Amino acid sequence: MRRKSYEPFLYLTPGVFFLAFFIVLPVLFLLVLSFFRWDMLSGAISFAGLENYSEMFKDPALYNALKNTVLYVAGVVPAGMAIALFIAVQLKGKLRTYSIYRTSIFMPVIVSLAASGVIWLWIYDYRSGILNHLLSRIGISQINWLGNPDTALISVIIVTLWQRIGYNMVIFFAGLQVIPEQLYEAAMIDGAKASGQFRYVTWPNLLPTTSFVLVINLIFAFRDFDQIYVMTRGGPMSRTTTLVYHIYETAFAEFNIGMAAAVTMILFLIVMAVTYLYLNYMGEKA
Amino acid sequence: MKASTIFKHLLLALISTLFLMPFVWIIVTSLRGPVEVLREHTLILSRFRWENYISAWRASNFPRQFLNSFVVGVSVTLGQIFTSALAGYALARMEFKGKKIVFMTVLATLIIPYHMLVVPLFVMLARFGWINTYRGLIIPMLANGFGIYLFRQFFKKVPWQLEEAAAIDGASRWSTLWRVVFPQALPAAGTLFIFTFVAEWNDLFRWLIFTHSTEMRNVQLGLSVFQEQFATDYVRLMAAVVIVTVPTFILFVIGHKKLIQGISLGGIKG
Amino acid sequence: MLKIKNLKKSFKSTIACKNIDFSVESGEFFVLLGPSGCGKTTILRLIAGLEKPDEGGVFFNDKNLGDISVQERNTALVFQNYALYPNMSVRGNLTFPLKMRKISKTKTKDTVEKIASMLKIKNLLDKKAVKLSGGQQQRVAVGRALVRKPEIFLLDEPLSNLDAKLRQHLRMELIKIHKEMNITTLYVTHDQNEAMTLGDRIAVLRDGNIHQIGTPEEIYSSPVNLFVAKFIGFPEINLFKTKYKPEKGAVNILGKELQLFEKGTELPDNTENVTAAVRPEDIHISSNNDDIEGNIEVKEVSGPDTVLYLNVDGYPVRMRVAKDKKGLLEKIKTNIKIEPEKVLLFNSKTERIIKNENIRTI
Repeated sequence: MRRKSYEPFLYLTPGVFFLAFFIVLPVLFLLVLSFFRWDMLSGAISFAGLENYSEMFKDPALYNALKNTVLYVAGVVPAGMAIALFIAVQLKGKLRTYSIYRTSIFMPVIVSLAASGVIWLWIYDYRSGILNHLLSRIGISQINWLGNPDTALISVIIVTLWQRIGYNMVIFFAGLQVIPEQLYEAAMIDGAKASGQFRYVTWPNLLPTTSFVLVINLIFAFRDFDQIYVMTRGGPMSRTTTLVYHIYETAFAEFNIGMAAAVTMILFLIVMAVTYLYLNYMGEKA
Repeated sequence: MKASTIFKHLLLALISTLFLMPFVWIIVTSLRGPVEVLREHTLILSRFRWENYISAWRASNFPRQFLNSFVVGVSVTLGQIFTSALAGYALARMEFKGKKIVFMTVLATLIIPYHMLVVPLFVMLARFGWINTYRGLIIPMLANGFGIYLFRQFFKKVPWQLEEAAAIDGASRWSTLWRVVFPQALPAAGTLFIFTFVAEWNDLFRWLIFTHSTEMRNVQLGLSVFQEQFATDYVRLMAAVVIVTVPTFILFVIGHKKLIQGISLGGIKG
Repeated sequence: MLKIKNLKKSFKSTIACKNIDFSVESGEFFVLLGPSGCGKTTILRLIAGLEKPDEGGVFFNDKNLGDISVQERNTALVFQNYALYPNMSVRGNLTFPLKMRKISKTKTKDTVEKIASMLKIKNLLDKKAVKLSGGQQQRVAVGRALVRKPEIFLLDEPLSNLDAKLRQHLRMELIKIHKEMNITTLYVTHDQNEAMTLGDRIAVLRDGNIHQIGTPEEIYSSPVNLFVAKFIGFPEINLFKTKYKPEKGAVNILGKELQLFEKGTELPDNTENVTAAVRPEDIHISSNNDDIEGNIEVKEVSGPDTVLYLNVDGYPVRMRVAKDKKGLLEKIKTNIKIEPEKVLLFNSKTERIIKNENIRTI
């Protein structure tokens, strides 16, 4: 076919240009920024070398954010995946009732994280929220879900799970569809009951899907912001301040751009490491 | 019916109810009176106070916010479809040096959420004077690695003969792309449309950071501000939540298959 | 002994099995033959327990299998697409059924090795099952089924995805294995050639009904209706719609009168409208110029036989002759004659057989 040599670039340019300019470039810029001291309010910029980093590693706020992030990820990812997988396996089939269940569990996905936060602010309300009301009905004392430092993070995790499980379920479901029904039949004839079928047919054939869900969930968990902002603003006592929120505060509450960049680099490295591990694992499998 | 089937249905029904309850609850709440709502914890409504919705609509700057969300949402979505189709076509059909590297880079960007780029992006946009403008909200989002990947996969499946026939009929490459090849990937475009629009509509973080005036808020940010202002006015707050979610709900009803498709595409091949 | 009694099964709007009734002797190789959609696969699945019948039942040694779960029935099934476990090696696939039945590790190892040797896949044991060729995967599928020494061995068109030569070869192997292991076997196929080669007895099905059960010879020479007569035999049997004249004991075929019985013989129910059927090998080249004349349009030479497609006054006739007919390849016009003893008569309306020496009249 007739081909002009510059043609590919003409086509690629818009898309790739935007990607390059607004994603790749900022990544590099991020690195550069992290070596500068830049106060947004006064506008004063000065080269700081590794000062931001050394200061950051001495800052207890960083470790608090790291701790909260680890707790948050540990709370959201395994549960989000396991519950979703369980539901997806149960919902295999063409029955109409199954698709009703599927749609119900999927519904929270369309609500924004911000709106979810608002909804659950109401549900979690100390005095008039429905949760505490139900608790009082069965005789348990009221819990200050979002106000109590010990329960705040869990409360946020629940909100995220409410949304995330439906999302994961849909992906798992698609992965399950691809497994030929005949494999299950062969396994049944070979004597495998439900647990045997899951262990020997479902799980091994679902591995690519499962690892995909894992990576997606990890990335989501690292970047979840909206619901934290709406529900707790990172509190109480910074108990729900994850890395992303910490970056937000550093940059836009403390106006310390250079430091925020440095912290972002840390987050970036963590996410890259996780993804790299995943790609390696998938590469091995292929 | 077997006992295990009944048990399974009960369990699933219970789980589904748990997931749906918040929705039911907010709708019920939004139709209550402001005093009633603090006491009443059943699902029974004595009256349907539709005026709450009107009141909520007026109390916040909803019209402007809807406009903002809509303008940016549609622009970003259409823009992404456009650039992704172009790039996807180049990657699917054209040979050039460095093709593999470009594709790898495109895929690599999928991993980087913009959440991590807000700091440098903010600085960049501030330098351009794009803070608090439509430009600043639309332009950085005009390319999407996922969209490029999606179109590339779809275009690869279009048989060569179609393009050859178009060439014989005298069509230029550009025409061929948009009149012959792209229509073959309309499902992909539809999926991308819904997927991207919903993501844009639901975004809070970007608007929080890149805008500062009351005029330049989207519905999510507006909702958040509403919540700050009227913290205990749960009645109107829930009405606001419903109002804000209606467009995505409509999209969901129309295209839930597409939305689900978009989400699950990664999971099949991994 | 496997007994299928009055089996009925439908799916939504289609009735897959209308009234299936047959028995299979212990150790017999029984073939279910029929065009696609006739219900043969459904019968297999009902025996395996993958489907439940709407009416009727599957009985093995007088026990109703209906209440026994798929896992517990001692049946084995070889799927058309093999359905090998993709994440396991060949060994893994062969071991799995034994693992599910909690057979000891040593016994498992022995059995697996024995079956692998018998199927000549011992050297493939550690390879990933789905990476093998079609023929190899087929053997693994058979191995997985046999490793449990099932009481009923079911095969669903196992050879249809293989090329002709491989199919031949594996067919022979299956016969050998069957002789060695002597398991009650049900084999489903749409290939009548395969059915005739493999089966001790064949059941010919169509649209959910069994039309005839018999040995290959019985089915070939004594088909009970036109469907069976047409389905079995290559090339297809020649059919002539004609009238039987009792006073002459003859029918008119291709413009010539052919006497079949003694003059004055009446057909049961005084049938007049008949379809006369003649196998291609029962039509011969004649040197007599008064015999039926036709044009040879296509000649298919294959090995010891030649198939001729003739045009007799616009009517197609198929013949099968021995290769060494001299001068056949150059001829265009030829004369043919039909062996009257070999003509089968069918009632044109009911399509059932009317009279033939070998079978009992209906």
